[in-house]
Amino acid sequence: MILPLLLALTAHAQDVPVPTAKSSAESETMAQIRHDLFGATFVPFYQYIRFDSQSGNTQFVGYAGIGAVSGLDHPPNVDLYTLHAQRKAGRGEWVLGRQQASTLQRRQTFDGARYWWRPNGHVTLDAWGGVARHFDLDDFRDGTGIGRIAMNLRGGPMLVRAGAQVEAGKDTPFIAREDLQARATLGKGVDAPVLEGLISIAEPDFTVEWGRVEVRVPVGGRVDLGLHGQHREAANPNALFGDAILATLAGGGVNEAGVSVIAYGPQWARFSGTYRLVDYTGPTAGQGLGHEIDLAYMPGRTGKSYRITPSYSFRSGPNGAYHAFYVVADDRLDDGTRVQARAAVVPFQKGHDRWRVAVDGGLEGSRDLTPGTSLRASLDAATDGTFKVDLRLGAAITVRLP
Amino acid sequence: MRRSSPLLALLLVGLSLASARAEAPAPFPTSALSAEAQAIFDRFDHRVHAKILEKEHLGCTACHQVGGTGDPRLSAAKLDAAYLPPPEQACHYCHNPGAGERKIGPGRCALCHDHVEPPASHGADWVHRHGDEMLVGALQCETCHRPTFCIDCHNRKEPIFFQVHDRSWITVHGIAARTDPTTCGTCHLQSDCESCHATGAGRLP
Repeated sequence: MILPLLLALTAHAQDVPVPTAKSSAESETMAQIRHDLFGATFVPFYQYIRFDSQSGNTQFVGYAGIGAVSGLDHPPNVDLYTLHAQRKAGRGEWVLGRQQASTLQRRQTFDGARYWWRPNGHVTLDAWGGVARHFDLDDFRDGTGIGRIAMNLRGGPMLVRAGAQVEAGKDTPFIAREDLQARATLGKGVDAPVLEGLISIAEPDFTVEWGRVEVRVPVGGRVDLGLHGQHREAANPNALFGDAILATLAGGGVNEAGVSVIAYGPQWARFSGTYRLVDYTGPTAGQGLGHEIDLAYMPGRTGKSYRITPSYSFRSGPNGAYHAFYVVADDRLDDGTRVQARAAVVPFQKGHDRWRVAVDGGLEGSRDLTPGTSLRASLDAATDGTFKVDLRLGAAITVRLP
Repeated sequence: MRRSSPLLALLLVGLSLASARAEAPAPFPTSALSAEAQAIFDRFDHRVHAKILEKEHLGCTACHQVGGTGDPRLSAAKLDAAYLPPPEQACHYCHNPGAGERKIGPGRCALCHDHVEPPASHGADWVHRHGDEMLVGALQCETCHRPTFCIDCHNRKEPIFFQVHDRSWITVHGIAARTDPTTCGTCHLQSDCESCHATGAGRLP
């Protein structure tokens, strides 16, 4: 009698959360000494607080930051504050408080509530609403009422998402946006080709089209080859992107094609490479094709305490080109101290100027002072055409409260 | 009597076998565990974990969640050898790679897993695509990542410690911005450009 019962209970144990409550708070105090853009001494100071608590199925998350400076340069851009509770309940999950919402644009922040509901494996409902609050990347006006409801339908190789979003406020006209996204996976397995498209419509003049095709093919052993193409276009970019950089430089749209390769080794070792060809249309003079190459090698987590990670990036476009060679070496000493050394050599050409080279390097170390308290310090040196040698010294103290 | 003896003997043998089967530790059906999970349990050592579990007030049933098996006669060794392998949540409660400094035990995946790799979606171009993927299935991100994981990269932009841009970036960022401005727009607003270039603060392009 007891064996079947135990087996049944063990099978259900996969769904049983660990019941013990756990919470922690962390304070991070950071400061730096450097030159500002005028050559004067500049000392920025930052203070962050992070709070995280898990009690049963409920999680509380808080994050806040403030900053101050001593010097002539621009004040630090610290506008960071979020506080919310998240709880799983049955087939649903809700979030209450200041949080970030997923929209078709960039991430937004609002005070309100969000609820997911998954009645079965094929349907997901996602609804959220509240009052927009400025939070760094915010496009909404502070105080605007916003809300969105979306439904995901999964069936076989298809995923379809339909959504509707509304905005209304004292100084904001009522705006409604509807969007439809479809994804098809042609075949079985993680390497199957993916086709994806999205169209979003809002009155009176907002339409964005987005299409993507991606194919990943194993070409032998643990090597995958990928091909992708992408098209984005907005009829009225300002309606979609606000004052984002994209609206200024790439107002019309972007077409992109790329090829990528990734090779896996044992213990997380991997090499990845990507080439992208970018063509964008916009109001900026001197349009042209852009070329991007990214190569990176990450060694595996073997028994050695040190790792050396090289990478390379290339960019070429209407405004010039550069090659960036990076290498980072990190090690953990016997006493627990972590040290890191990094260097970058970047030959670059702006416009039709001659080629020049920017060089920078840095050292960084961190270690625990007491249980729960750690110190991190860095020293960077760079030459970039303005300063022959520009030194920067940074330090941070992190205090964790269990 | 002659005919009943073999039957009686057979009955006794059968009863004794049934009794022995009932008393022996019932092996967990190994088909229910993956080879990787079995390998992890084989390497698990209660002695290494005893001190921290006691400190965190985590008793036997915190991991072996089978309805409160408080029988002291069931030693840890017997629990492991029998039918009570903990669910993966029990391990990841302490060994949580996404928990940052909150984690109780080391969060390195390779500590226990021999062949853990990023999911297939995290391919060579994942950095450029992860925003779109997040829109499709946001819930999947938190399978491995904590909510504050996004904030650490997307919202904290103090340049004291190297995170995204190295020191050469101030020299070459104009080239990258004109090569593919969509990348800049992920984090920056136009006002970020104007704050330096329009006001004439320091260096102009």
